[in-house]
Amino acid sequence: MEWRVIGLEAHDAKTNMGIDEAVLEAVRDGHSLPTIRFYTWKPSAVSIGRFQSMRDEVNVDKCEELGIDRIRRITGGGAVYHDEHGEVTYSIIGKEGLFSNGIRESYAEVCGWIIAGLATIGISAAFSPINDITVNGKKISGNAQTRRDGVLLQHGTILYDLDVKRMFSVLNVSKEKISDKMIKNVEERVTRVLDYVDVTQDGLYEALMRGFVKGKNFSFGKLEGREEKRASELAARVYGSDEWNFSR
Amino acid sequence: MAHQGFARQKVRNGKLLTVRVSFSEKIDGVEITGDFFVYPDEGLALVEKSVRGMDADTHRKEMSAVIATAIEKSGITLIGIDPDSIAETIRMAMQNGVASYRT
Repeated sequence: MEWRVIGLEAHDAKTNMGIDEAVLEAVRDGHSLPTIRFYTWKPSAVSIGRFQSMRDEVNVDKCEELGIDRIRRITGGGAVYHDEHGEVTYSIIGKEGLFSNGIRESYAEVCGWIIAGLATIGISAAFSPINDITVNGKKISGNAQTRRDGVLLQHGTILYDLDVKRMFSVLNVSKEKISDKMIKNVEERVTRVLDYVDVTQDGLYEALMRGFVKGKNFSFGKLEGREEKRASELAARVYGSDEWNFSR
Repeated sequence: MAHQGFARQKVRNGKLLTVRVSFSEKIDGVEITGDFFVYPDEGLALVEKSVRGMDADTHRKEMSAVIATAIEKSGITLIGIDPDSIAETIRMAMQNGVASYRT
């Protein structure tokens, strides 16, 4: 099976989510090859899981004050602060038959590609079910998957750097909890690539690329015209709308 | 008199589960949110619908069985939550709702 790889691009939140869904539709309809995408979020953004409440999870006023996007993903899972310079995000989109059968097994399979990529820069990571990757027991990557019309979409982030105070300013944690103790607690539970290796954000992307394409027949490509058009539609009508983002 | 209730708990070996419930003699509506996974997406609305109209004093085990049946019938897969934890959190939310009404 041949894969299409779309190299690292920076987009705003609604465009990133619009592209992922547009590619899912194109793969479903047989117009596009299974696809691996890498991207960052510009401006920085908070994404919430498909089944979370925006008002419960996100300090919407603070996001607006700081110019940070907030968006509901098509996938489940938790709220994530995507710092423009603090992480690399990927998505993989292909027909379900390309992946291990069970949901849990397919998480393990795709997370294995991330682990392989991190290994190329000397980071020894492990899969932590249901959907995390850890280094020395601390979370370095969160991943979320949906399946629709026979197509599997999984996206996730690999933490490169972390500004805990900024993260807490946009996620809805009560002020009492944003104490030194809480910040210390997060630093004990979460880790980042820069804690282990002196590499640039681009260097991390290149490492992940190596892990994702290993053993695959692939070629670099870009979005087809129909995908770009559909992604713009989805960004405007769905992902840019309060009806979607505040649906719960 | 309608009541509103809210409860949140981290499911053992699972995900965070939040329930908002409105009820009087019967359950009028339930909203379930959290960082869990539901396949397909539409499954969560079916779970919420399955408990609507139940007597407000329905026992947790009975509620759990109804949710489990709805899930099985519709081929829904839950990851990070299960019928028992959903029913338990709904009951907790209803208890909280009564308490806040009385105060």
